[in-house]
Amino acid sequence: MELVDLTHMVPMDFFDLGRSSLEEMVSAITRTSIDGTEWSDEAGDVLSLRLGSREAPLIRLSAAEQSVPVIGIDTTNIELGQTERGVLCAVRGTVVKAEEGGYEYIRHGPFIFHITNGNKQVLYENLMESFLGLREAGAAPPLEKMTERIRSVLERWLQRQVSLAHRGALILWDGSLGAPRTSRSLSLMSGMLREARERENTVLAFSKKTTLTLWNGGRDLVDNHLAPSLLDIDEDARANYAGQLCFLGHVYAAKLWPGSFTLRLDIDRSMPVSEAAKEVGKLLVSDCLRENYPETLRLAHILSKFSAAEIIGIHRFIGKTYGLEVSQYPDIRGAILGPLEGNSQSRGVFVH
Amino acid sequence: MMQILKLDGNTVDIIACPPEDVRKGDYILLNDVSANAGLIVQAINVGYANIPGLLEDLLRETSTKNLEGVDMDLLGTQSYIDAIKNAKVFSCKIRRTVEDGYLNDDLSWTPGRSTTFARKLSEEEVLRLIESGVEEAIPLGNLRGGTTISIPLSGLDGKLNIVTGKKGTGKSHLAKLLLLSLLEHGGICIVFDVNGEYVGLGDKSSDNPLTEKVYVLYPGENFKTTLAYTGLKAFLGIASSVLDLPPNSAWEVRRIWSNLAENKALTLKKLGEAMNAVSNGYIREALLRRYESLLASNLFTDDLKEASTIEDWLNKCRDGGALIFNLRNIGAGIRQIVVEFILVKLRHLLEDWFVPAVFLFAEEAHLYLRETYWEDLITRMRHLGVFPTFITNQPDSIKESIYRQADNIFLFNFTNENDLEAVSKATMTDVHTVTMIAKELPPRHCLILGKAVNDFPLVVRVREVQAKTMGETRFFFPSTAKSRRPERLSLNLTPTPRGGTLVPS
Repeated sequence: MELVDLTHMVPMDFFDLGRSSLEEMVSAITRTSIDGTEWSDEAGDVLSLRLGSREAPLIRLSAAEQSVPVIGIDTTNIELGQTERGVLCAVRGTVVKAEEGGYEYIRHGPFIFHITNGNKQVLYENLMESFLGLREAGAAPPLEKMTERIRSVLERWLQRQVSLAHRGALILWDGSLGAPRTSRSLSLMSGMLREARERENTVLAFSKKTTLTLWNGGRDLVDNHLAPSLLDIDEDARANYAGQLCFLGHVYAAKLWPGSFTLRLDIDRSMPVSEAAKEVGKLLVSDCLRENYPETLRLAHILSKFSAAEIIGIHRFIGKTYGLEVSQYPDIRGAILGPLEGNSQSRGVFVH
Repeated sequence: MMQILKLDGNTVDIIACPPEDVRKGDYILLNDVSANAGLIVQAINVGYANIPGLLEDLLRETSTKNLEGVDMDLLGTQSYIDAIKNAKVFSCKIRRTVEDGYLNDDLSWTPGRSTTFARKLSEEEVLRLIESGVEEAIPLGNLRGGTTISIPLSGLDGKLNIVTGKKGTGKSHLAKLLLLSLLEHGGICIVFDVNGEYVGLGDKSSDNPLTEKVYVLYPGENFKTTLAYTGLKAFLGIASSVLDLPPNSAWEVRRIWSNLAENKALTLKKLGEAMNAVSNGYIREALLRRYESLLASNLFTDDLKEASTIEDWLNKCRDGGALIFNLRNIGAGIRQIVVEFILVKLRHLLEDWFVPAVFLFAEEAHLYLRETYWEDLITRMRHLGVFPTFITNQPDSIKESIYRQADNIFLFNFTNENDLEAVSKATMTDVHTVTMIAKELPPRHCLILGKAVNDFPLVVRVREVQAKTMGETRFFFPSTAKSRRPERLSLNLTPTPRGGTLVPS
């Protein structure tokens, strides 16, 4: 089993744009905002659902007889520091494929960007057009949000490439299938889901960021003895965020393994619930599950995440190769351990 | 690039990123350009730099270690990241300062951190430090990089040396190398060969011309002496110190000896008869018991044809030579008699300037050297011209005072902490240097400490010697007698597949 069919997915523009930004070759063009639409990928992810006493429909799952390829995609970004004129950041994405009990990966990056107020608009437009096909990208987000946006572009691009390169596979996204109604990502995501369907792929989006709790504060939505099963919480989710978000996926609380908390799982809304249950049943036999979470996604996350040594190494690379001096370094420990230390909002550090 | 990380007392920690090939024992120059001065430090330990978050990093890597995959590292950052992960810290000991190009023993000066550049000294530079290039020198072996190292004769002449290490590491080999090298330069050597390991040096079938200068003496066989040559003083010394003759009986011996000497009848036979005629029964018994011990040693003879003297043998060594006293197959008591006899005679000969000095090689000296002689050897006899080299695999058998007086220590591998602690009592070293370096010395490699290397501790691979240096070890199984060659281990050293890394061309 090889992932070589995915090695053609070299995001050369990512590489070139990043390198150009470091070499200050990106012309300093500033544009005014075309529309004020803020595109945020995470908008649909960060939900807090407090489910009422009403019993949600429970869908018992049974493992499929045959396994299928499972492909997980995850990306990470990190701020490397600040220069006199802007921000240095790095993004990285990984595709992990599970097939016949084995795992393999392709890791893209790190791609390093030097984002300044002078180049961010050009950078943003180039990325949106090259990778997402959006000709009118709109105004670039504020400098401090650019890193996250670049990561998001890489992630969408990888997700799309995986969809196009496979047939009959389960494609695992990190996040949800929801987006703000006015967001540009809505049409993008919709198109990606369609492309996946056309190739008989199924997108399963696991969100770690959605907090699922009961009114009484409990977080274990499904009894252990009922696992594996899905709890259909679509109506609750939509009711909670009606008017603000568009749900392209049907929202479930998934408990795929006894003894672990339920996770939010979005599955393409165009897929009937019974079909969706069958697809999740395929996942049960096709991928390992740790703490209710698919191993492919876990590995993709691990492989993408930047370590302290990598950050210092990248600093060294930037200094040696481009002579850029970082005027303010981020707190490496905070950057790496931020979420673990309850400090995920460390200044200037974005951990996906 | 190497930089000072920490300076604490006479210890300097140096960080190297990317890591440099500095190993334990290597020398580094910390050159403070602002002060035109520097420190010469020696790496005694090597470790990885403590990178923040590395533990988490490694734990994460364990999850993905066996994954196959490809890294599309288009920027080629991996080598920089690897450099960080592999950054090393060298824990070093300050050996000397350099001011205006001259070595200085004053270690109180400290370099500036930001103005100091660190670089590893080449082997040629290290050799210059130890003054290896002098004319009268002994080629000892090679440094790690292959550079030949010689130690100046002045580093051994008049010096007290200790060669120690665990069994099978090459102590005796080095001792033989030193011995042959001294012979080559005209030195006179005496060896107390307790295990019969040096007899091969006298094997005339060997190609080495130096074997002609080696005389293997078997006490009681080809080395016997007369009472008259021994003299009353040496005889009483042997009787009292080795055979525990009580003082009253010693007086009786003195009386008998004088009578026999006056009558020119100083023979073993007459001595026995005179002792047998002593009226006091207790003294008679005491004397006869010691007499029988002396007879059993076979060292003494009345036959002038088979008797020889130390002078006879030393005369053969005038242009360099070694007398090897094979003590292997003789009992502990007799061994002590022989050694006592030789040392007493040697002292007299040196006092009379019969020879200017001798190099004494004593293997496992604690087995035959009585307490008082240790002190005597390193103080009085040393001034008279006995330059001892003690060879042992039991470093704690040598007294602390000897270590403190030692000029050179040739330290081979030890793994036992107590052994290393014993050696570290020597004044020319510190416990860290000894424990950190000696523990990892491969066979045939020794750490030289002291004057021979101008007090710059040095790891040396001892060279081969063109002579029969192997001892005659007895085996039961013929196959075990064959020397074993290390076999290539069929370990799979290829990394587990992790795919490749694509970097831009």
